[in-house]
Amino acid sequence: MLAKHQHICPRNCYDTCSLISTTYNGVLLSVEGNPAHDYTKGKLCPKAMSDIQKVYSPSRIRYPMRQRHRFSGDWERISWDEALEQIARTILRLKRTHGSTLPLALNKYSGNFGALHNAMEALFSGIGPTTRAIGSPCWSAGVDAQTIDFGRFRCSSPLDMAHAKLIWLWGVNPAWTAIHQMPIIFDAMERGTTVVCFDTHLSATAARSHRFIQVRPGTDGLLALAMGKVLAEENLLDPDLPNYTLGYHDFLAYLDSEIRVERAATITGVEADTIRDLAREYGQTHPACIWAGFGLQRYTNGGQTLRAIDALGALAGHIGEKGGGVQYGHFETWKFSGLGHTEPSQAKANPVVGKNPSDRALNINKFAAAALACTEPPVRMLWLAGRNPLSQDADLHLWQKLMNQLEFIVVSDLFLTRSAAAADIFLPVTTHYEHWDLHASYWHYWVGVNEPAIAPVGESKSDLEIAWRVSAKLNELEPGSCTFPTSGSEKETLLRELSPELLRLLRLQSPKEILLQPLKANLPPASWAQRQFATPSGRFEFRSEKAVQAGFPALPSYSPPLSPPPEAPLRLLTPHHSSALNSQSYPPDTIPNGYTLYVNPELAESYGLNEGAPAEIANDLGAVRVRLAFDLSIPRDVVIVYQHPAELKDSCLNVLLRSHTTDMGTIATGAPGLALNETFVCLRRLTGSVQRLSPNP
Amino acid sequence: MSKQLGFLHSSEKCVGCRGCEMACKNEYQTDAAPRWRQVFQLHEERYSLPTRMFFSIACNHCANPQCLKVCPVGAYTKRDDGIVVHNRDRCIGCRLCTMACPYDRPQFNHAKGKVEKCNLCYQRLDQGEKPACVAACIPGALELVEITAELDQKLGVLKTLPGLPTPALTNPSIRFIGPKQGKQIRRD
Amino acid sequence: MGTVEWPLVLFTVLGETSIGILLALWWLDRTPLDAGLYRKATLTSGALLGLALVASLFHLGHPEAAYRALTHLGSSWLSREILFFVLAALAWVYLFLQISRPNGQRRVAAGIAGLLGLFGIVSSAMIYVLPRVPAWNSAQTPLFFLLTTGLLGALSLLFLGWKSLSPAQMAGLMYWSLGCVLSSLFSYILYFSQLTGMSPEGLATAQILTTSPLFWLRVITNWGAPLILLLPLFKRKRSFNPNLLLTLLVVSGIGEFLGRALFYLSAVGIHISALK
Repeated sequence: MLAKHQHICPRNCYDTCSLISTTYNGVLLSVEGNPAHDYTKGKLCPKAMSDIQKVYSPSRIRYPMRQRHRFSGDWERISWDEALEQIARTILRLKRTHGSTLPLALNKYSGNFGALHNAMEALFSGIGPTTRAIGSPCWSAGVDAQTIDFGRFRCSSPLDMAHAKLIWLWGVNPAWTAIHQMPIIFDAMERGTTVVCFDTHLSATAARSHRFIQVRPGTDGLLALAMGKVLAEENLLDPDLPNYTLGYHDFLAYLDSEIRVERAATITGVEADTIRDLAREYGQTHPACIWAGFGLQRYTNGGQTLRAIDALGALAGHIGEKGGGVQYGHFETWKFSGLGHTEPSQAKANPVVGKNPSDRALNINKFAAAALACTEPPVRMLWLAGRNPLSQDADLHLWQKLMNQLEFIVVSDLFLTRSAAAADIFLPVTTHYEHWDLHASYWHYWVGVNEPAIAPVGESKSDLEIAWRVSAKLNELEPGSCTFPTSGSEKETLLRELSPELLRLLRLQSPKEILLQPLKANLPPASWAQRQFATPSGRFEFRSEKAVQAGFPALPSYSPPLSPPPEAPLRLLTPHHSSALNSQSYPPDTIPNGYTLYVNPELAESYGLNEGAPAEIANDLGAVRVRLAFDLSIPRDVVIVYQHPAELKDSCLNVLLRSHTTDMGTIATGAPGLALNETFVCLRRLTGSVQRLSPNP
Repeated sequence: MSKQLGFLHSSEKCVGCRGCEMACKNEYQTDAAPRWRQVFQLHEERYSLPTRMFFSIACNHCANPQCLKVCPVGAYTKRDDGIVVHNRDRCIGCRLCTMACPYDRPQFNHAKGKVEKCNLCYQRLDQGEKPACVAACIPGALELVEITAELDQKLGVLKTLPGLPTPALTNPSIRFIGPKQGKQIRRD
Repeated sequence: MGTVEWPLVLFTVLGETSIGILLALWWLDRTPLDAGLYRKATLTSGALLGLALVASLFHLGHPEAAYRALTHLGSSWLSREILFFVLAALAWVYLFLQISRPNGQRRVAAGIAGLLGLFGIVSSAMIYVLPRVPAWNSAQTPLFFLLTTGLLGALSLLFLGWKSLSPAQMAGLMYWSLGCVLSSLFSYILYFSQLTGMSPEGLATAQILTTSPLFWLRVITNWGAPLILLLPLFKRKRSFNPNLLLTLLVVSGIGEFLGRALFYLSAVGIHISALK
């Protein structure tokens, strides 16, 4: 029998597509986009279209397993009861031994962004004060910057970009990472809108823009400030500034005294005349929209960069404009109840903050180092859910050390990931075709329900089901040891997740109405249209007391990014590829064989390396084998590897990554972000043969 | 033959996401190896500036299909609307069509011992739907069109792109809108 | 494309040898020919033809459905090839029946089988005359296939009949073989010069050939050695050394197999040249 079900793609992605699956007698046949959605419009990106292969992949783990020795691959299938028993007994023993539940650590993030996946946090809260990974590896600095400037972190509806006469895509590559924005941009171009793309490299988006402006990595903030100075010099400032902003005189004075356009040109790599032309066009065109990407702020000065761009938007009067503004992301629709066991995540730019005040909070980006440093009591058990830190985190040497020291490691996942290789117990989880869930987007305004279309594959269980069962086992062994529910209905739990505020935003009388179809929240299409801001002053704050309290300059200011050390002179950038999202690769079982390093041909020549030559990039932390590919558009001080997962036998790219953190992040997400674009390497010739590499990730 | 259906591909709008490839795989749940549709990146040395331009190729349902000509079992037929249909039930896996097609679009599936290719979703077309690849293309780069003299006279419509075999071989039913280049202000 | 298609190499070279033997028999049968040799040669030809047809099945993804290959005679040279080879095989059965009879029409039968086989070989060659593959798309392809037929047919019969053939018959076969080797050599030189001046694909084929050790082995076995080995035979027409004849056949056979393997291996089709 044919049946259709609605789903939401749960990836950490701008588009958060609405899907409809077709099943025949309980087996998935196909997935397509849900045409009821005005942003994703019934179309899917290539990643979602290989979902069925992923659900039924032979490499998917279908049973709980126990590993005799970590990293040995010596797995044995066990029953759920055995797994739960071992987990619960270990938790209770550690609690007894240390007289505390703090030795238990949870590290979970965005493997699946569904609200019911917060069950893992709620489970740990039910056990007692525990050690938690907090913050975000992604967008923390930018979120703080926007929180400082606007008071809240929100963006216009992505459809609003259609009204812009000028679109600046700044450090964002929607062609590969938010593809549903492309038809909106193309349509605008056909109606005469000018599109300018600022990036460190010629992306697929940049190649389709009217102009591509190549900026030296980490200097975008200075470029924005220099353009702000041009606006001031050429009387292109919004005359209304005194009415809705705070501190603009101070800011103009800063620009006047500290910023020199010619000097900025030298540092940013963008010629002074170009800076002036761009500033004039931006100042004279209304509406003009800036979309600031996440890569921009993955530097040690990332928060300041975003503040400078926000300030530029304000100076030109584009904030609050229909089709204008500085768009970055939002969290307005993430009003979930937190499963009753975590602090609701309202106003927190992080779905997984949900911690108790008594928890021990460790920055997710420095988790290994921080966990190793915990002494009273030490961290003894780690549960990884929706995370693959051994592939995606910094400080892998510290992670390795931590994994070797811990007494007990549980990994719940779909596949035997690089991190799962460290597990003592592996728990198989369900995909979004096998469980109920509730999803919001951080880019568009839609919220929707995910229905199960098929029975769980093998013995896999949802995070919520796992949390119930762990709690049940804990209470069986020691009554009262966990306050998280021990059973329930996924669907009912989901309905309770719709907070009153979310119901209001979605204009719902009763939560059940959400079950019918995805809904668009009732938010103004253009943010800050009234120019009433959520800052303490109620104005756009060029000068912010909040920033000062957090230890930053009151004004958006330029501080340089890190400089490469002499022994590692090349900056390594690792943008997303269109076929993969971090270590979540699509389709499964098609991991590219090795990394390709894109370099300027002249740079390669100076190392005596030909195209296709095997080589190695290295720094003081490690080395990774690469195959060279030439790209004329890459400058000679930058090299690029498009991020994708690596085979377990090969060393992964992140061995090169140190946990430099961004300047900002603590205010809104709880911890600074990861400054991963501040990674430096040297290029080395490699003698001997490297296995043949597949053509493209 | 009353008409000739084909594809119109805009390299200006195609961002190389391979959604069309995956939509095809999603529609037919095909094995990983044969790629009925494939996205290629244009060689950049053929342009004055790096282009990041792509084109997407499936069976071109040629006016002069070499596959149909060489096939010893008559597995290929050309419909009234110009679609070159490959009947897998008749195929004996001699692979001659894979040697004859300059676009490498009939591909041999080693696991099944037969050749496979795009049949332009004729069963969807017959029900008034678009081919899966066209329906899935988010930026609207891929269209189903009727190949006509008027189409070829339109400004900007190209019969081939650098890197493609000369259309003289098979008279493929695909047209292109070539890449436009924006201004690139690059640093050294 | 660009792979050694062993089933096809075996099928074409063995099939051509088989038909070559029949044609050589038919040609020599103008003058008296020993019945024992006739029988031996016919059986050899039949065995080779059988082997060839079996080998061809290994090329197919679905050999059990090979019969369907006869159904597109209108435009498919492969269909025609199969038709002619099947007819040649039937004619061979007829030939076999004729030689088993005292007054059988063996020359007519051999002629029919040989002619049908020849059509098969030309059809076989025409399969590869594809506009897509510049290295194949010329009259050279049927010429190569026919020269293989001529050379290996004649050399096989020379070896099989070294005892019973008359000196004139031996000389005829030798001159014929020499003609085939020289034609092969000169036509190949012409082919090669066309390749390099033709197209990027032709140039790629030429590069694959010259950089392959197999090609240089072919130069030795297919042209060098036969010429060197044939010369002493012309000098000492009366005392044929069977070992020398066997060596000549084996070396030339290796040369022809290599030549055919390289034919497939070095084929470069016009294709999409872009990053995948």
